[in-house]
Parts: sequence; structure tokens; C-alpha cells
Amino acid sequence: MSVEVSIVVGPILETEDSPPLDGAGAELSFRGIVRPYEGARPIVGLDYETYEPMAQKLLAELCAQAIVRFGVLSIRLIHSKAFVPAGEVSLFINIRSNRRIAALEAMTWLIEALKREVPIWKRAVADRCQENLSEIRLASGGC
Amino acid sequence: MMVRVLLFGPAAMAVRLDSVGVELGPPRTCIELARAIGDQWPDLRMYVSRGRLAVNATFVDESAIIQESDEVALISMVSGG
Repeated sequence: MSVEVSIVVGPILETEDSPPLDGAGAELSFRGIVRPYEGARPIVGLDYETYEPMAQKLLAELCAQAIVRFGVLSIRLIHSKAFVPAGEVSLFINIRSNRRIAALEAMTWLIEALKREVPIWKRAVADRCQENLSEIRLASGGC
Repeated sequence: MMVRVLLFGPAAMAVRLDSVGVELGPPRTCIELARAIGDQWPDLRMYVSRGRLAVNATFVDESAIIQESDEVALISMVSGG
């Protein structure tokens, strides 16, 4: 059983599946892709903010819980921070298990827990000029 | 004592700061700190009521005692994925 978690700057470029694992009868990969709209409004991407030490820790804990709870063999999870353009991958999860049901259930549980628990925030960016607007505002103490 | 509380996401945007200073008297518990944040930073009240406080990157109980050296963060309305 293994857990591998990382937070990367910008879009996730390497989302290839994991090498074969003895005993695995199922491998499931999920790629969360930034949509080009937020509601009815077109956007150019999402700006992800993280409280990184805690996000990293909670992601690893949630993956470990998923392994115990669903009996899957391994989980590899990558989440983006900072700006991710529309159409690019911002979340990648790869789960291997003996049987497909365990991987499917673990994937759903993990994504929902991540959205509920992990200190990661996303902000829709409507215009390229706004890519780092939140950081600029905060650094200057206001706008 | 003065506690610095880290802010993120909508809470940070509400006050346009990435952290705020909060004066905390005894008892220096987490629930007292939550109350003090709301009193001293009214624009953060909604985020305190809908969020949780983390101390040293871990969610803590309301009764947890805050130490001067602790890193405290207001975690509210997360939206990852």
C-alpha cells in the first residue's frame, strides 16, 4: 500500500498512469480539468490558493484513510496551486486496487472529502490581466 | 497577547489582508479566539461562523489553548478540486 501526494505550481502536465503493481486488478485515473466558464460567464482559468503545509498533510491523511476504508492498494494524487488555464488539468488522482468497485468508491469518497476538508481555494479568472490579482491586492494591502 | 491569524481565499479578500492581528485575553482558547476575531474584525464574522481554526496546520477543538508561538489559520469555505 502506498500514498504519494504533491502540490505543483500551475497545470499538471504529467498524468500518465502508474507502472504495473502486483496484485492490482484495477487502475482508475481521474483528471479534473478547468472548465472555460463559471456558471454562464466565460473564464480564462482558475487561480488556486493553498495553505500548503496543511493541504499537503490533509491530502496525505485522506489518501491513507481511503486506503484503509476501501482496501485499495495505492493512491497517487497531484493538485495544482496558482493559475491553471481553462482546459488544463488541476487535479490528478490515480488509484489501484484488487477490484474495480473499491477503486471507484475510493475515488468518489476522496474527491468529495478533498473538496470539503482540504484548505485549497479557487477563484475564477475572467481575464488574463487578473491572473495574480488576489496576490497583488493582498501584497499591497488593498486596491 | 496578540495572535496573528492567517487568512485565505474569500476571507482574505473580505479584508484584503493575508493575516490579521487579534488581541486575545485569558482564557486563551480557540473558541475565545474565534469570538475575538469576530469582535475585532467584523468583516470576518461570516467566515469564522462557517469555518474552523487550525493551529500549526491542524484543526483543533474549541477548548484548545493558543500559545504565543502557534501558527493560527482561519480555514473557511474551501473549494479545491
